[in-house]
Parts: sequence; structure tokens; C-alpha cells
Amino acid sequence: MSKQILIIDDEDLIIKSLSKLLTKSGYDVSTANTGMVALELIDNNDFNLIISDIRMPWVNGIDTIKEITNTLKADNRPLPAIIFITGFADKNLETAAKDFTPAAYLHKPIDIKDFLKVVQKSLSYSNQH
Amino acid sequence: MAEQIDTNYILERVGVQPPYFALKNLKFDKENGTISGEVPIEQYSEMEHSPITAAESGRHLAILGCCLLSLVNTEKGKFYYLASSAIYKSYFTSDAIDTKFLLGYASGNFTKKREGNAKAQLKTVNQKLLCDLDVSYHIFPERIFQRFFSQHKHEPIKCAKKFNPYKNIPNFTSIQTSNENKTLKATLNNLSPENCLGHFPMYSAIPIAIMAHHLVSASGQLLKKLTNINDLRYYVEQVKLSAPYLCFVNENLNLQINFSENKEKSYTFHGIANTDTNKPVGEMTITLKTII
Repeated sequence: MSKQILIIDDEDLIIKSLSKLLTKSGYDVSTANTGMVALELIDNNDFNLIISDIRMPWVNGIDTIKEITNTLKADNRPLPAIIFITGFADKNLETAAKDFTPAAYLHKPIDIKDFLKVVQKSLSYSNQH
Repeated sequence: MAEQIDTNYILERVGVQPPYFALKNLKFDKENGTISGEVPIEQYSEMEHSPITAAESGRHLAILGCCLLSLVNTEKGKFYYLASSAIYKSYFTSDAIDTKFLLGYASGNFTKKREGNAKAQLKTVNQKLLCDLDVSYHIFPERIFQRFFSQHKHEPIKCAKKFNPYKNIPNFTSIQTSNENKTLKATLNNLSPENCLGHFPMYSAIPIAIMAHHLVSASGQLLKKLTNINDLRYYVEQVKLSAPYLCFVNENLNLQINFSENKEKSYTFHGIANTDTNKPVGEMTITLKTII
């Protein structure tokens, strides 16, 4: 069965391009353009990996992942691997992002080869835990 | 044929409540997909020359749009319709309008599962167009909204039945203007949940319309400084607004207005509203036209 990946980003272009790339690589991809939509998807789906933008409207990526993690822990469901992506260098958010283990942190623009390697590495880590 | 809508039915389906919600006599034309309602005039502005301020027009029209979306929303339950961007345009009239209410009209639709758009107009009872508003929303089911913003939840507020904070909006403070840089800075602080009554019950957030009111007022004050006209009067010609985050009452709101350009009697300003933690709550381009 294909690995389930959720992409959370408010930029349509990022969602489309990452989604296309990951689907081509054999993953099942779901998308959300806000943390709120992501939280709704989590209620009915188990994801192996979540790729989340950090700066998003209403609720930022860090708080979105915190709420998702709390929800999954409360329901005794497996935790997905996390990859944060951002177009802005923000030390506070970067530090907060590092609180999530295992988590990778990528800057936009994203290098496709690097990105796919990080995806594979994150998924293999989530397999072992 | 438009049908009368029970206000209680709407209030069970939207996050905003009275007194922030102040529309009356709502009617829904199912065939055309339009809603109409009576819009009260609650605020007064010393410098803004208009039967109703731009910010208050935006408040009522955005709520009217959210009422419409709540009627076409096929899912049951309460939803929070958060206005994320809007464009306001005035059709200024200098005619004196002696009325206690205006008429609002809106059409709209869901653009994605959790996003919607409404186009609304405000007219006099004689059908003279005053302004229009194109507003986009992000739409959140109540249970999701509550989970994300649980840290801001408080006990229900007990106020006198007719208490309405939107008739007397507190002023911003710590005003600093620079004629040289053509900027104004100010702070909106010490707000209590009573100041945001109905927006939203138990999760008091500063309404975008109130933030817009302050950014417009601040632009007006800066314009007064720059033109050095003491009895300056203006109307709001156009506003473009984006509002990506909520600002809750326990957060201070810092306002900054920068003068952008001037063409004849029109003056354009760029305004931003950030919290102390630099959360960008709102950004506006405001064009004021002076009336001599």
C-alpha cells in the first residue's frame, strides 16, 4: 500500500507542484491550504508523513502540527513524520519546529532531489518507530 | 420571491452574535441566491463624511455575506466565516440621508469546501447605491475553531441587555506622527471581551471591521497632519484589505500608517496592524478623498 502524505500550504503553486512530484513518485497525497482543513483531514485519515508550511493564515504550521499531534496522541494513533517548509528565515519558528521529532526543516525554493531524499528518509524513520 | 429568514436560525449557524450581528429583517431569494436585510447605523465619525462609515459598512455587509453562505452551506452545525480579504468601493453621495437604517444585498458562493466569496452592496431605502464590498472567507466548523483557539476561551460575558460596544469604540493610544516620514504609529490596547461582544462569544477576537475602523481613522489623522487642515472632512473612496490572523483581546494591536501617494483630492495610505509578537493581523490600502 502506498504511503499516505499530507501537504499543508496556503500557496496553490507549492501544493500543486509538490503534490504532482510525490504522486509521480508513487505516494498517495492529500492537501490542505489551512491548518483548519488539515485538522479535519486528520480526523478521518492516518498519514505516514505531513509536510507543512510554517507561515500560513489563521493558524501557523507549528500550532497546526501541535494540535494534530495532540489529537493523535489523545486517540492513541500513530504519529506521522513531519517536514516543515518555509520561505522565510525565522529563528523562533525554526527552534519551535525542532521540538518535533522526527522533523526535517526545508527552505523554499525546494531542490527536488533533496526534497525526495528527505521524504524517503522521514518515511523510513516513521517505519521504524 | 424572497422569504423572510428567522434570525435565530442564522445565529445557530454562524459564529458572530448580537450585538456585533445587528442585521434585521433578513430575506432570502432562493431562486436568485441573494439575501437582503436592514443595516443599522451605529457608529459616528467626526471626519468621515458619509451616511455610514466605510468600516461599519464593511462590518454589516461581511456579516450579510456570511449569512448567505450559511444558508447555502449544506453541512449542519455552526461555522465561523472569517473574512480573509475584502475590497470596498464607495459611490459617494453628498445628499443628506436622514435615515436610521440602510439596505444591504449580497450574493455569493462556496469557492472551495472551506472557502467562500460574497459580493455585497449597501443602498439607501430609495435604492441609491452607497458602496459595495467583495469579501472572501475561510470557513471553519465550530469544533475545529474551538480546538485551535482553546487557549483564548473565557467564561460567558455578563452585560446589560442593550449594551453595545460598537456605538462607542475605544480610541487607539500612544499616537506618534512624523510629518517628515509621513507616518503615524498607534496602539490599541487594554481591550476587554466586552469590547468585542458577539465576536465571538467566549473567544473574544477584535473584529476586522474594528481594526479597519482604526486604520481608517489613523489614516484620517495623518492626513489632517499632512494637509494642516483643521476641519478636514473626507470620505473613504476605496479600501483593499487582507486579514490573515485573528487578534484576541489579550493581545495588543500596533498600528502603522504610511502615506503612499496623492492625486488631486485623493490620498492613499498603506496601513498595517500587528500584535506585539509581530503577528500580521491586517494590512490595508486606504484611499481617502477630501471634501472642501
